[in-house]
Amino acid sequence: MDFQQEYITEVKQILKSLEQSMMVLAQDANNPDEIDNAYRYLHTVKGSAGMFDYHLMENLTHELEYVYSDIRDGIRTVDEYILDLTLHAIDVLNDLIEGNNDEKAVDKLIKSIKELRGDSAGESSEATAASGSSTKKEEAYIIIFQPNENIFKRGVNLAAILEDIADLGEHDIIFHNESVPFEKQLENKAIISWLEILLITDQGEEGINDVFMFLNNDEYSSFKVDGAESFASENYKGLLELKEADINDRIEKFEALAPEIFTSTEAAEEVDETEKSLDTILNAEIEDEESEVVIKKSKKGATHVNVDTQKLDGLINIVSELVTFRSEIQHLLSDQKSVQIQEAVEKLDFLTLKLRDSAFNIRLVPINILNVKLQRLIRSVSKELGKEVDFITEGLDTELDRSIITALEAPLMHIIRNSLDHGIESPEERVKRNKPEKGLLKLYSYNSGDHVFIQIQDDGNGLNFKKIQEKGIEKGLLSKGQKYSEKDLVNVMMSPGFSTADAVTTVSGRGVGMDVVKKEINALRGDIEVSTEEGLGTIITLRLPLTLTILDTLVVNVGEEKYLIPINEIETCIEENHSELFRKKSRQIKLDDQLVPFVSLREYFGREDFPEKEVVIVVNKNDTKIAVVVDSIIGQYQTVYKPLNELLQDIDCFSGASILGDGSTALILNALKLKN
Amino acid sequence: MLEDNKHLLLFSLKQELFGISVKNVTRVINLEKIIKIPKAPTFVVGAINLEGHVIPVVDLANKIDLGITEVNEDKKVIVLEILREEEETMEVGVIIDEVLDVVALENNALAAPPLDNMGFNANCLDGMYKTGEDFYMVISASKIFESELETLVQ
Repeated sequence: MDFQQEYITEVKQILKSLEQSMMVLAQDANNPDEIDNAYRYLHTVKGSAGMFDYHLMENLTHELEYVYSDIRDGIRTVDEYILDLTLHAIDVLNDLIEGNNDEKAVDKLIKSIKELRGDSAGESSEATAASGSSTKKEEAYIIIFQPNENIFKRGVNLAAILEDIADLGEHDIIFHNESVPFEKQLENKAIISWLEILLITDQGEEGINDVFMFLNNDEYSSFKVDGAESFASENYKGLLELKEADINDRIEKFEALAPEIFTSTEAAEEVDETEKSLDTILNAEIEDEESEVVIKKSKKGATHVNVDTQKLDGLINIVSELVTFRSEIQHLLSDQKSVQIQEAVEKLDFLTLKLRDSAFNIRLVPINILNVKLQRLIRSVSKELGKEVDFITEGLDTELDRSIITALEAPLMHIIRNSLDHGIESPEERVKRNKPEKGLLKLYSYNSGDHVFIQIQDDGNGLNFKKIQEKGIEKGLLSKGQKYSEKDLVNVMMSPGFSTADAVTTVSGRGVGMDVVKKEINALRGDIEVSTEEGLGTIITLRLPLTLTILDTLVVNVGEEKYLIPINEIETCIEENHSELFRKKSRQIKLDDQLVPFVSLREYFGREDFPEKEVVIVVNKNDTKIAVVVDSIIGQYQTVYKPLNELLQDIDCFSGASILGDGSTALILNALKLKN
Repeated sequence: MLEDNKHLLLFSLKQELFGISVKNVTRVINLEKIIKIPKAPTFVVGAINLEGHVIPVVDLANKIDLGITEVNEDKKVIVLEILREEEETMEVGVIIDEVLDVVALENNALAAPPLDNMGFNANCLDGMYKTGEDFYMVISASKIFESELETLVQ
């Protein structure tokens, strides 16, 4: 992968983490860990932005970093304004990293940040003055810099590092091992030299570490030099054994850079020596912490690999083909008598299924990855509406296929928007109704069988069925004077062209209604269910398949054509005579003292000949029962689901297609859509 | 070397001679193991399994108002890949009688198509290709499915 791309991905991830920290801080403004994290994320983005020439990004994070260092130092506390500012900055940074350089937005933000800092600039400058001039004092350092061979492969820009060093202050470089001129080494991208950098800087060790932040710890080390005796210290000796002449040479070089460096300081040093050493210890501790985090991160990196989704899809595809092939083999060898072959087939069976399960597991990601987005939405929408809401989540570690999660984002956001807009009442209204001022929005999710359930519950006003009915009549979706069950009304609410909001609000009236949500969920082979209690709230339940691609089906036939029915939808199968089924004009069959409508596939597909013995398959999906009449059952088959081609998408009585073991194609029935 | 899109695949269908740019053609296969798709648009004859992909097969003659093709195993299917929106393609097979040739198209070798009394929907034509005594109607894959592609974008 190209470094730039890798870098962009990395920054995006950091920004995501930053966003997450913000969400924690929104709940708990004084959480010291998250404040630290936020500061560190900004710091990292800043440092790397400079290296990759993202100057706008560098400037913005630089300003923001001040705010968080103030927060960290207790000079200011996280408040709504800072949160909003940071969240906005995250959006702008995301744009910047995408290459949308909106300079105005950045300037405006920087101005706001500066203004914010301005109101307490007095305090903070006092604070820095009080904390001593240590950071402002010029000091001498020697940096031993030994780049590894692979430094260019890692995308480190050596020239940029040397430039950054120049920015730190006056410096001089002694090249060791320079058998090839250093410029040439840079040009050839093969560094064999190691460098000794003499530097006078007021940025302290932190400044140096910033410059070298992309290098491994063993590639550089820096030492503060207070005079000739520093060269004799143990840790220096470990790296470089110098003769007295060499030491004097270096001292001279330092003095050439800054004449007063070793003489004037010593006297002053005495006074705040203790304080300073304390300072450095503290500093060192902070450094330690940072490197620890870095290690943690790299350890994490070892257990988590970012894989291109296309590669993943490729793997899944092959595994899918293998699953199909396994069925084919099984089919071909089904009449084999040899025990050995049977055992081998069984083993192949077992292994393929295992392989399939692990391959599909890779695709599963926790719902949690949507959390931050949802939280931000809730924050901004509730603010917009002047409502207060507590958002509680549960079971966000429930895993779903990555493509489902991605497709779920829009509908989920819409449902939440709806709950906030139409469900939860304004604070005044809530007080009047003896409810707590703050509304409650709950999102929980759990596994059940091969499905995942996601529920969104609010304690708002619930659905107003009267209003729905009126609206339905007005829109011509319902007829006057007829009685409708709550279920009917819910269905009407989710049909196209229906919106209960009296006026189109900016929040939910964005042209999409519950019908779109329903359509999107159905497209995922999922279902949506609404239960509501007037005045108390609404629960919206989404039922989604774990993965989109593997399906256990019953193979049935109608004439020569085979069709598949998902097994989890099937309740029972019974045999029935054709003449009995078609005795009456009504297409209903009596099952356990209940009338169930049935659809004869032959009749539905326009055929006029029927066998006398037919099979009735009772499908139960979302508590809606429908019976399907077919010629006969062929068997059970595990298939790989294939979506229908774009040309066929309008045919909703089939949800997809599948390749059978013998290579032939079969359509997957969507029984509920067989009505009408 | 001429570019891919300067080659035409020539074929016959219902006594008429046609050409189509090879740019859209992924392959030509025999019409086998086709399954019916009830409730599909009338011009869709069925679907086939092409290496794990389920692809609809369209009666090209029917689609361009040339008549109805009798589906049997002598027929061939040209598998087309049609660009829809950015980067996304749609695969579809169209039934033809026989593949005749693949020819390189010299510059400006396409003549404007006659539009009247063609006996089929001339809107799907890109032009006309003449070689020797024969005229080939060059049809455009995306124009054949223009209305379907439009509804997909919505």
